[in-house]
Order: sequence, then structure tokens, then C-alpha cells
Amino acid sequence: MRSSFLMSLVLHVTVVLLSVIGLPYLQRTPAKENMPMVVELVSIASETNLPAQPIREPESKIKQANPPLPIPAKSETKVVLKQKRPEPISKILPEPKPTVKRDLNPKPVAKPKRILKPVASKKLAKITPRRKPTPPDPFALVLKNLEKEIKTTQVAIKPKKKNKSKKSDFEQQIAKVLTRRPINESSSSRITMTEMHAMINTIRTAIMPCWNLQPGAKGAQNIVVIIGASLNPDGRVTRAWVKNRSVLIGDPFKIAAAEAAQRAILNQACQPFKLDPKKYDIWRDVTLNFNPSEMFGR
Amino acid sequence: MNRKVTVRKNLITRLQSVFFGFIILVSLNFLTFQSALGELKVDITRGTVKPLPIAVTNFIGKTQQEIELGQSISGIIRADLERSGLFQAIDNQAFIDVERTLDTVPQFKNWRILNAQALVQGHVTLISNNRMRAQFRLWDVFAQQQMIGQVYTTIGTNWRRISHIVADAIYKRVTGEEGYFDSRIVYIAETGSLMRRIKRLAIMDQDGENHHFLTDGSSLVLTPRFSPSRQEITYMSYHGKVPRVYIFNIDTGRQEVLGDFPGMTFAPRFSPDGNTVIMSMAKDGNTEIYTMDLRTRQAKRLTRHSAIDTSPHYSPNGKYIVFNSDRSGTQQIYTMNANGKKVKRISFGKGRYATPVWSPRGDLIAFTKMAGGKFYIGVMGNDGKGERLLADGFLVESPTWSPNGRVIMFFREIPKGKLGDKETKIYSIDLTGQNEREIVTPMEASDPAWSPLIP
Repeated sequence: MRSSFLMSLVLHVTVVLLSVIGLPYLQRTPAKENMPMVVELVSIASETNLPAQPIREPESKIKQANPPLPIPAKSETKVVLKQKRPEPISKILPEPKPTVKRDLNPKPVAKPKRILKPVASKKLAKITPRRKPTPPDPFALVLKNLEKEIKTTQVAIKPKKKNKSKKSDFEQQIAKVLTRRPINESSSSRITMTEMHAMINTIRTAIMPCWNLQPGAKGAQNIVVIIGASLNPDGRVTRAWVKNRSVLIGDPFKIAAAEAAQRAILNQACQPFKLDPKKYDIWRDVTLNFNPSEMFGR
Repeated sequence: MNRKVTVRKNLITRLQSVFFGFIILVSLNFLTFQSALGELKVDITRGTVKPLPIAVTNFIGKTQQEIELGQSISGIIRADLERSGLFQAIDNQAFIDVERTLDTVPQFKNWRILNAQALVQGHVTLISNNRMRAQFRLWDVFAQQQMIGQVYTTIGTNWRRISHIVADAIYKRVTGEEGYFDSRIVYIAETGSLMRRIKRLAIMDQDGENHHFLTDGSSLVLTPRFSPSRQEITYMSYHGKVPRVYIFNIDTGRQEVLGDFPGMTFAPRFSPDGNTVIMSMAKDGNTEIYTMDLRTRQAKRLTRHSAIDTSPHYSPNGKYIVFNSDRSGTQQIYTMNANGKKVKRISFGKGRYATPVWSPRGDLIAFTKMAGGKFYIGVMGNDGKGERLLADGFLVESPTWSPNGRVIMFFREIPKGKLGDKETKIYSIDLTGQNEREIVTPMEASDPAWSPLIP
């Protein structure tokens, strides 16, 4: 018992000593006493005076200070100019072949009853959801399968799996953030992991309801669209462009998907993004990766 | 003495450093990290599946006749787009200010307020000799750009077709896939009691308009199918004593029996080029798949098996054939090369499979499935993988694809009160399994077949 106590004491002392000796100084040793030095005090000329480091203000403030260059007004004049020169009609189709020549009234023509106008089909469209009384979950898998519906009624849902995927999603985001290389060392670019995650989440949550997918399109699950966007300090998108256009060009499905993603980011209904204006440096330019594969259960 | 004090001070400072060092390390681990970023990257992995809000303004015209025609054209475009389930037409009553000309850029802010993501404007002009000109522009409201603008000139009676063609152009530009509104449906119109059922061949536009009967009902007709290249329909009819496959010319109204087969022929379909008809022939209790070249009238046997091989259908490229067979003991789906070689089973799910139909896109096969006392309409990949069941019922059968491979039409028998009494209707469903709608017909309807886009 006594020996154990002694051993423990010795080990503890060793660890503390090692820490004291081994770790570097975090505080400098007191400076050595120096010989006093005579210093002549002179006034600094105004030319040699260094200007104060300019403090970066949010763009909106700059704009307000310089009214002659307001961006919205500029864009408005563009629109007016456009109005005078409308885009030409892209294609003039040749006359469609006259279908009336086709006699669709063969000998035994019985006059059909009057067909109900499309309003009737509208009614039916309203009726069909009776089979699915719960409103469609926008986050459910986009491709319906009756077999799966049957199975889910029999087998209890395992929420753990969903949580896992969410967790992994979170971890992926964090991992991505951690592996990024630092570029800018300005004070406003220093943010915590929590802040970064909150920022990503804010943008993602805002855009999701505005991203309208075409799940029935051919190969929809594999079309990834990368959109670049510039934001105003008030959290509104000023410009959005497709970054991977070269990959998408030539395939009308991909082009349509790209335009849908662009509409999502430009949709005012999902803006402004509620982001911290102090961190504007971080979210001034955003890259959005629209990848629907998760919605197809991949 | 002074030296001792300095050493003590140093030691205390070191201990303080160690302590604060630990605190900072822990804080860094759990609370903060420094990140300096050039650009924020956000992964959007989930969205919504909603119809796209679109504003379709009435096509403008100068005279009263043009104005009325413009309203009718816009009405058809709106109905077509809404029926697809991919668009939600905004009520015209909500429009703030409609432009009076096509020659100016719209005031997008007026349309953004309504959350219209796309805007359709049009103009219609009646020109001499009963001719008309229709022009339209489709605008992306958010991007403030024209997406498409076209002009059509035709005879005045073609205004319905023009409306469907414009709707197709809008659909294609927004979704990226061909439209299907300028197409027709041929189906079996059914009347009479269960014992005295009259089945007639009927044809109509995909929106139910322009309805006509093609046969008088004196002979029972079944399984009509459109030619992809000519104004022809092939079907099975009990015209004589033996049921046979016939070809009907829509333009002339003439029908002729296809080939001189020794047995009953049924389940016909055209090849993608329209030059061949593939069908089944039953003789001496055995059913095999045959093709007939429509130019040479030469028949060719493709399958040789003691089991029933039927419901053949070509892949869109004409290289493969999908069919159903009970050669494995139960009715399953098989594929083979167009020459009958390399037969391969692709369906392995529980239940029986029938009436496979290859999508015009070539990526899916629609089928009828019977399992657990119910019928289903479903789709699977070309290799049989990724099976999804879209619609169900007491009896659902005969799937047919829209020309763009996006929508499936089928018929459903609904049992009524009395024993054996039933009601038969045609339905359409998006391949995602959403937007199921009844196709309204003047009478009961079954066996629909979708035409290709009208040439």
C-alpha cells in the first residue's frame, strides 16, 4: 500500500516535472535590464504619418456612401434598353402539315357523347390523393413504389438509419470544412466550427424548398449541378451562374436541371439568407452543389 | 538571494504557462477552430417535387375573333401543362399587368410577385384564306431571359394542334424532354352488358378531344397498337371465326388481315421502323412469337419452346425484344435479341408478370404484375432491376407509354355492386408514380395505346 502510494507520487512528480521542463515557455522571461538610452522626441510630419488601416465595410454601406453608382439603378436601365430591342423570334416553323386532310370519320360514325372538358380531369386529380391521405413529404423518396409502401406498413420504420445518414452528412460537411486550406487571414474570416456549420445549414435550409426537382427525367439521380452565387450583405443573391456548364451542355435533361438549380438560388421567396453580416467575408461568394442522389435513396 | 527569487519567479511562470496551455488546447479541441476560406461551399442534397408555377397569358389579337381564338389557345396550353403534373398554371385573375404586345420585355417584377417562374406570352393573327399565325415567347422570370420564341402559320382549323405544339415546345424547353401533347390515343370503347359487350375501336386526341370511332362494333376488337411511322393501327379482331391480327389504315378506313397463319394470331406490335409486326401465334396448344415483314409479307418464327411465349415488344433501337413466357413455371418477363437468340429472364419478383412494354426512352420496361390477389402496373430497368409498382387495383392492365417515355397510360376495371358487374376506365400516371389521372372518355374504355407525336 505504502509502496504503491510512493510509486504514484513519484510518477505524478515526474509528469509535472516533464511538463514544466519539456513544454516551451508561453511567456517570455523577464527582459534583461538594459542601459538607459537617450531618445530625442520629434514631431512626425503629416506626410510620413501612416494612414489607418482601412476597415472593410459591408458592401451595402459602401454603396450607400456612393450614390452615383447604385447597382440596382444600373440594372434597371439595362432592362429599359432591352425593352426597346426585344429578342428576335428564334425559329420560324414551316407550316405544319394540314391534319384536316386526314379523314377521321370513317363509315360507322356514331356521334360520341360530349366529352367532359379538362375540368373533369382536374376534379379527378383532386380525388386521387384520397389513397394517400397524408400530404406528400417533400423529403421522402421522389420515386413512388407501391411495394415499398406496403412493406413500410408491415415493418416498423427504423429512424436510426435516417439519423445516421444525417450524422454522416454533418460529418462530411465538417470534414470538408476542416480540410480546406486557409487563404485569407483577415479577422472576420475567423469563425468557429459551430458558426460554419450554422452558416451552411442556413443556406441549405433556405434553398431546399425552392429547389424543384424533375425526378422523372432520364438519369435525374446522376445530374450534379454546381452553381456559383454572389450575395449582398443583406443576404440576397445578386448573381448566380452554372459552374460546370461544360459537363452539362449537349444534354437537354442536364440543361433543364441546371436551370432548375439556378432558379432555386435566384428565387426571392427563399431569400434573404439569415447570415451574420459580420462574417460577410465568408459568405459573400458561395458555391452550391446540387446533388439529388440522396433523394433517390442512394 | 536575488538569483533565487528570479528562479522561483521563472518556475511559477512556467507552471502558469503549462496550466494555460492545457486550457487553450482543450478549448481549441472542443469549441473553436480557425478557418480562413475563399468561398463557402454548400451541398444541397434535398429539394422538393412541386409543379412549376407558370403564367400563361391569353394570346393577344386585334379583332374579337382573334381575341377569342387567343383565349382558346391559351386555355389548351394551360390544360396540357397542368395535366402533365409538372406545371401549375397561375390563375389569370391574379395577373397584375399583362403586356399588350410581344415586342417588349415583360415587367418581370409583376410576375415575380405572383411567384411565376415562367411566363408565356402569345399573339394570334388571322390572315387571308382562312389561315392563322400564332407566335409565342417563353420567359424565365427569375433569370429575366427569353427561353424560347416561335411562330407557326397554318390553316385556321388547326388551332387545337397549334396549341398542343406550343405546349410541347414549352414542356421541352423547361423539362429537357420532348413533349407529348400533340399525340393521340387509340382505345377500345366498351358498351353494353357483361354478356353482350360491344367493343369498338376509337381514337381521340390525348386530351380527349376529337373523338371518333374507327369500327362499328360488329366484331370484337382487342389490343390496338399504333404504327410509329404510318397512319396505321394493328389490332386483334374476331372478324371471322378465328381471331386474327389486322391492320387498319386511319386515312382510308381500310382494314386487312395480316398474314395467312394456320392458327390464332394475337398481341401484335409494330417494330420501331414500322416495317415489321411482331405477334404471337397459337397452334396445337403452343404459342410462339413471329414477325411479319410488311413489305414482303414474309413471316419468321423467333421462339421455339413448349411454353407460352407472348406479348412481344421491340426495344426502341430495334435490337432487342421483351416478352413474357411461362417457361420457368410461372409467367415472367424475358428479353432476347431481335433474331430470337440469347433469351434471358429479367423478372424475379414474387408473382406473375405480363404485357411488358419498352419505354421510348429505352431506359425502362413497363409491365403488369399479379401478386397477392391484386394487379399492379410497374416499371423496371432493362435488366429487370429497380422494380417499382406505380398503380394497383382489382384489375389494372395494358400499360402504354407516352411518346416521350414520361407517362404511362393503362386501364382499370373497378368492380361494381352486382356480382361480376364492373366499370372500365383509362388512367394515366407519371413514371414517378405521382399524378394519376383518369382520361375522360364518352363511354367505358380499355386497352389504350398512345400514338407517337403526330408527324
